[in-house]
Amino acid sequence: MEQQLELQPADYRSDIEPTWCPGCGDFGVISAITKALAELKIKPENVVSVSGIGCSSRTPLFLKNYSMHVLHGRAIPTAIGVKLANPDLTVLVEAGDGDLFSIGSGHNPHAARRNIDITVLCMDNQVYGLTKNQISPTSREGLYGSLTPFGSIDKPVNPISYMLTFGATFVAQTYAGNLKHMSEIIKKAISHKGFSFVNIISPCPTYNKVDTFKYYKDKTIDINEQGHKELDNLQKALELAMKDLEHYYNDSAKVPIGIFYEKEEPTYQDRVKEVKTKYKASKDINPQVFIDECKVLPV
Amino acid sequence: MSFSLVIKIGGEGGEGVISAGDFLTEAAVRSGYHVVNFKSFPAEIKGGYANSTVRISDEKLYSTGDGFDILCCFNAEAYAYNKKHLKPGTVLVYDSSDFEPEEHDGVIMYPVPLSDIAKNEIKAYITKNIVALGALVGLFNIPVESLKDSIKAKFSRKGEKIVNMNYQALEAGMKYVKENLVKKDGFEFPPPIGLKDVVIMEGNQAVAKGCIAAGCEFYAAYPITPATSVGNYIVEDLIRKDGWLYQAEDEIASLAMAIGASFAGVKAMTATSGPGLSLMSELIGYAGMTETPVVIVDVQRVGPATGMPTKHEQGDLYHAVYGSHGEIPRAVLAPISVEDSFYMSIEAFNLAEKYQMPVIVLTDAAMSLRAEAFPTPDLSKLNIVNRLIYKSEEDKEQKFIRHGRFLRYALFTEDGITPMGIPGDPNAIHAITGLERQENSDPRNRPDIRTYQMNKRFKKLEKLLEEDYDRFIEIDAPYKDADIGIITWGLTASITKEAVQRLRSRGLKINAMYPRLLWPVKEDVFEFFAKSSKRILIPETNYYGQLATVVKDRTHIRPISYNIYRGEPFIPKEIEDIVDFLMENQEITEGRFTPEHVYGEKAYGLI
Ligand SMILES: Cc1ncc(C[n+]2csc(CCOP(=O)(O)OP(=O)(O)O)c2C)c(N)n1
Ligand code: SF4
Ligand SMILES: [Mg+2]
Repeated sequence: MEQQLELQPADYRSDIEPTWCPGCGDFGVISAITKALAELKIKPENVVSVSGIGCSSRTPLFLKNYSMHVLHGRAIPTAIGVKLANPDLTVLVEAGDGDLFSIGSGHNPHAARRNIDITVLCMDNQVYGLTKNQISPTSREGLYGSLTPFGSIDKPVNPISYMLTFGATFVAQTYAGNLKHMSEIIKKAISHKGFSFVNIISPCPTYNKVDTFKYYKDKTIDINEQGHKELDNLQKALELAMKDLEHYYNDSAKVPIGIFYEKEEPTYQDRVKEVKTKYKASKDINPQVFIDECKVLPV
Repeated sequence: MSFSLVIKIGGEGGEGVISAGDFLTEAAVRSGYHVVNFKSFPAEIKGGYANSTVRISDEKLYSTGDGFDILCCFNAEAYAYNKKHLKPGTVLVYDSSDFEPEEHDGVIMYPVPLSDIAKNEIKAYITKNIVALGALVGLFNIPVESLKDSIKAKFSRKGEKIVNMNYQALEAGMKYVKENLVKKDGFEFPPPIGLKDVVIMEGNQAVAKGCIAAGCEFYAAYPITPATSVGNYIVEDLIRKDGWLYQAEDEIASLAMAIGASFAGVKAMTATSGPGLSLMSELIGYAGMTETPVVIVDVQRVGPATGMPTKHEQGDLYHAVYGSHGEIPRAVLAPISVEDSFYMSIEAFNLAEKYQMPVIVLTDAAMSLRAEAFPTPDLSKLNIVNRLIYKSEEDKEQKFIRHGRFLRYALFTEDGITPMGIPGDPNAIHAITGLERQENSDPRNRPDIRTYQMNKRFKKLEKLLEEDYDRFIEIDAPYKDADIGIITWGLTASITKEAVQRLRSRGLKINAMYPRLLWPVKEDVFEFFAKSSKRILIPETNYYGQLATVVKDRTHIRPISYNIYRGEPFIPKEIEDIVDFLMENQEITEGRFTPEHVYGEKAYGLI
């Protein structure tokens, strides 16, 4: 490795001013991402940020790294393409709850179960921000949206338990009101070899008048500080995860943050490598060989 | 054509019908002849009617012909499917231990107890197909050494015992014919003239080999008939070349992955059929908008919705050309044969890389299963194009850097092409976005910027028309004042070539134009061609006449379109017939026609 000058969080910020509303949780998230990247000393040119569409999905445009602002719901498969093409890159997905759990939800299980070494950061404001206030798959029952003026009658999904059952090897939750926790968790998620998922509670003061900073201020509880240390125990992780939404129905319930699950397992890339070794893969092989294999030869 | 023989073998799927056709195909190649082979698998997963048609000639072949000369039936079902096509002069060879056919006027019948010979003499029912080949050798003088070599090439890995058993089966079939039958037909295979340097490929295999030859390193796809076998054929080549094939969760993911891989710097593709192409629509626009090279192969099948998954249609041209909202630069290529599928797949990557845009290749279900022998491609003689990549050291004046930002979408290049920055390079860090953006990728809604960026993207197509278009347009126009000029594409073009030969040999003045690049369109080329003919005919296997629509849209030509949409390709005779019909009806100068106009009530069941 060549000698690395100290990198600062600012080195990962593009000169585009975020277009977010004042007070938006996503400001905190971007600070945490840049802090984590600086501390991990990953050079900006080796990071690819991939997003979908939404307020949160603008994040890659405000970062100084290689960025792909893709289509609504398509961040994860695009990120997989990047990672498979060049495994040396650090690939981040920065997208919203609607993007990842509604339109793009079909991609989650496959990225997770294949343990593809990317880091997915879900900026969960429990609402559709960009389209101006509709309920999202993570919205609590009763939340008002422009298309549900009567209040949501849908049960919310639980991102943590979903990702655990899909087979993600790193699953955590953090909160945009706690920069230190957020950047620590993101750092660990990026460092994790394999598929990592972090749900970041990131309030939208403009459209979600219930799930606010004020609401979460004293609601979160750090499960790791509270004694959840056996991180490779899926059973325990699931038990904790099942409590994630309890606060919607029970005023005294807390919102768990911290690492639910973390386990080293062979990544997709590790397995690809094994296959390639078997096939004696080589960039140097002349493709003429593949053509000649179709020749009709004298016997 | 001094010699042309069409042998059709039909029977139960799994009885070796397809492999018998393959042996025959290879034997013809080993004897030095031209061959095309078309196979049709049963729709059922197991059993059902399968057939393989092999056409052999001493001249280059463009189709499997109008029908068979020799029909070889392994069972009664195959006979039932084909008996209406037993015309006087044709030959029926059949398994007389399985069934007895009806009387057919003028049809020459050769009963051979295929099953009994395989079971009783060879003690292996599975050799029935080889016994049948032996009978064909005995009857039509197919070069037996070539056939034996094909059998040996296939079975030598399984050991000498297996090879010998198959030789015995071959000889048993020959012996039966010699001892029991008297030749009454005139079909005769000429003596072998020697194996040439050729490959045999199926349509989808040629696509796969073309893509790998072009330097494809990443392929993502979701299984779909009839496109899956492109993946089957490419997967191991890709791995050996240190690339990868990823079986995605759906077609949207497939194209997203290919775009991601391309952004990361590798040549990437996906292959699908109509339903998948529909799902990819939004991302096709994204690739065009972000100027990301990517190749999408659409092995067309009958649509819409699930349609007829294994059947031929040229129904996706509209979608390939116009599909996805908004407007983007793109290219649509359509090979006309298996050999062409190989070269057009390379061209697809060349265009995608050079112009940084999506390129769609349209083949079809019938082409996917057609096998052809063609001269072995020599990659050292082919042009492989790579994308323009930003290199800081070559940008001495730092033209592509402004205020520390890389100008991925710089507006000052003459041809609209701007260098791509590849992740890992500290000097070209940038974003791509589906939003309209200014030169440094920042989203902008400004009318002037929008207009400039649109113009930038479309300038690339102007360059393509200048520099690359002409080589994709095959024009065969020997007449200054042809009676009819035919324009057509894809597999229909191949079939039309044969019809044109026949029409000319009958004294008709027919010009023809076969565009392989269907989008963008160079108006002058079409109009210049049209001037040489009194009328323009566009035959296609779709309802609307999709190429005809594009031609009407982009040129002043008012063509006569001729459309079939029954799930089968044209046969050359149908092209001849529509031309004859138009010669008899000189007053027709434009409009849409179907077989009902030509044949009346009898329009159905031609094939
Ligand atoms: C195919 C498609 N459908 C709908 C939209 C409109 N759309 C843009 S963002 C969005 C929801 C975003 O919600 P979320 O992902 O939670 O992001 P947030 O704005 O809340 O950060 C929708 C529906 C779109 N861009 N594309
Ligand atoms: S609408 Fe909500 S999510 Fe979007 S920028 Fe404003 S505060 Fe943030
Ligand atoms: Mg949201």
